[in-house]
Amino acid sequence: MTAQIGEVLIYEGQENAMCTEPLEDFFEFGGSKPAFEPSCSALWRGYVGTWEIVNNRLYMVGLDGTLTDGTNATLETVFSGYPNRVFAHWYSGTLRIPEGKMLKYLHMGYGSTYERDRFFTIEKGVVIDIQVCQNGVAEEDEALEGYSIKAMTILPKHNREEGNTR
Amino acid sequence: MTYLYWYLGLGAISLAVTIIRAHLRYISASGQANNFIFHANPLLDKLLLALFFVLLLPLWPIILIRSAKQSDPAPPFEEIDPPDDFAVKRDHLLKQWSLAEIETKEMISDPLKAAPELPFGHLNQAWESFKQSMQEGDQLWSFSTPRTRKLAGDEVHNGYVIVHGELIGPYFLTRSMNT
Repeated sequence: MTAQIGEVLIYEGQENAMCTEPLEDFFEFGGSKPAFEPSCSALWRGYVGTWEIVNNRLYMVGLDGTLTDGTNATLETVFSGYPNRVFAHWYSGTLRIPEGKMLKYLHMGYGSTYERDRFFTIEKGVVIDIQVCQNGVAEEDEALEGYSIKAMTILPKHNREEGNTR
Repeated sequence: MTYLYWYLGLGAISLAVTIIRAHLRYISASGQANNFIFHANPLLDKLLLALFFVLLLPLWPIILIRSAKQSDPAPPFEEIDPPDDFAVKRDHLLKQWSLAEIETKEMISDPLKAAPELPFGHLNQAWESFKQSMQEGDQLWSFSTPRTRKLAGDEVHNGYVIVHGELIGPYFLTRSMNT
């Protein structure tokens, strides 16, 4: 599986790439899942969600994706009546925010390692712990800062229409 | 010689268009304007791109046809992460609950009013649907069940399950944690 485009987490006013997909738990627990259309091999889930931590609570504040019928998916597509903000009460687990320069690239999922990882431990949508884990220091001065992926295959529309969707 | 110049000239244009098109589609797909194909070292990226361009230039018709066809469909997700036989067993049961106890315990309240004030909040509809499966005499139990999936690895799933005598029936998931 190709390295995946991350979600976005807004924390203390700053946007960060997030290597965790809390919305997938919502779908797994019975939430209605629209038919997202993956546009490329780096985005099998077919959407990018934007999340925010406010007063130690995790909220979903945006969703950008395309459905198989060609229409754009927004937050309200999943959470009818909640177009701007959704409390992620269903999520318990650990959010991973990679920080600093890339140490090692792995072209699979969220497998690459970075200088630091910031972990948010979440219990039913509430932040109960934040820890920063130091993984090392990049040897190359020119190594890219922040989460990135190297390559992907753009999925042609006719392939996507043949039902190869996640 | 003129034909060769034409051939290489057309190739250069075609390859450039192919690369730019793929880059634009990447931006459209990801919302990120950087990091397409590139290595962690920007200077190396430029050299690799130039090398890639020069080496592939004579072969541009093949690249163009391949790019147009994109004939290899991505494998269905079911092949990447096949469904498993997840099931709640008797020794996974933790505690019996009444319906009222669960609905009180799982009531969602948010100061920003970003969730319905209902049991399981945004998942209330799924909960109501789960409740429809209950019959006279059924019990509700919380459970904790280990699960191993190809992509997710080892996990523990928690939730509530309907127990009807010896039968352990439909379940409602509330938590999925990697172990």
